[in-house]
Amino acid sequence: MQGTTRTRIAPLVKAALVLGVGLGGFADGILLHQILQWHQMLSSVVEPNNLVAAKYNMMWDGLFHAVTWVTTVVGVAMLFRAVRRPDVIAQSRVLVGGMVTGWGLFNFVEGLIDHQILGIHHVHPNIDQLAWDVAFLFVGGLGLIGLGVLLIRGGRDHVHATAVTH
Amino acid sequence: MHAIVTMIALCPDCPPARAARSWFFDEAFGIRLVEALLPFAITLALVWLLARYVAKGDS
Repeated sequence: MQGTTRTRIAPLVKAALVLGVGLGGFADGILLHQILQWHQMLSSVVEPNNLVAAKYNMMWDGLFHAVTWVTTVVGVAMLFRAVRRPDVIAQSRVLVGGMVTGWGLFNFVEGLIDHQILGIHHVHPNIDQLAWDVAFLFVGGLGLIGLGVLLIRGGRDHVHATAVTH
Repeated sequence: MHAIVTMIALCPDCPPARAARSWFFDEAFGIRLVEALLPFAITLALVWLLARYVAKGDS
C-alpha cells in the first residue's frame, strides 16, 4: 500500500447504493408486506381476501424478495471489491450515506411506478390511500435521498480534509 | 376476478378452474413480471448515473 493515497470514494458509493436498493427492498417487504401486512405486491389487483388470492400475492412477494436478494448479493460483492482497492477509503459515513440514498431511490421509484402509475398496490390501501402514498414518496423517498447525500458529502469532505492534513 | 378465485378454491382440478388458473398464473405472468421488475431496473439505472457523477468528483 506504500505510495498510494486512499482518497477515492466512488467505488464505495456505487457498492453502497446497490446494497441500499437491495436492503431497502427487504425493509419494504418484511415490514410493510409481512409484519404490518398493509399491502402485498399485487394486492390492489388481486385483493388477498381469501387463501388463493393470498397465495397469489405471496408468490409475487417471493419474486420481489428474490430480486432484492440478488441485488443485495451483488452489492456485497461490489463492496468487497471496492474495499480491497488500494486507492479507496472505507469511510463509514460514505457507506451508510450510500446505502440510505439507495434505499430512498428505490422507495421513490417504486412509489412512483407501483403506487402512482401502475397502481398494483398502495402503501396503506383504502383509508387515506393517497396521503400514505404521497408521504411515502416524500419521506421514504426524497427524505432518505436527502439524508443519504448529506452523509456522503460529509464523509467525502472528511476524507479530503484528512488527506490535506496528512 | 373474485369469481375466478372462488372457482379455483372450490374445485381446483375442474377444467374451468384449470383454464382459469392457467390464465391467472401464466398469461398475466409476463406483464406482472415486467411491472414487478420495472422499479428495480429504473432504480439501478439511476444508481449507475449517480455513481458516474460521484466518480467525476473523485478524479
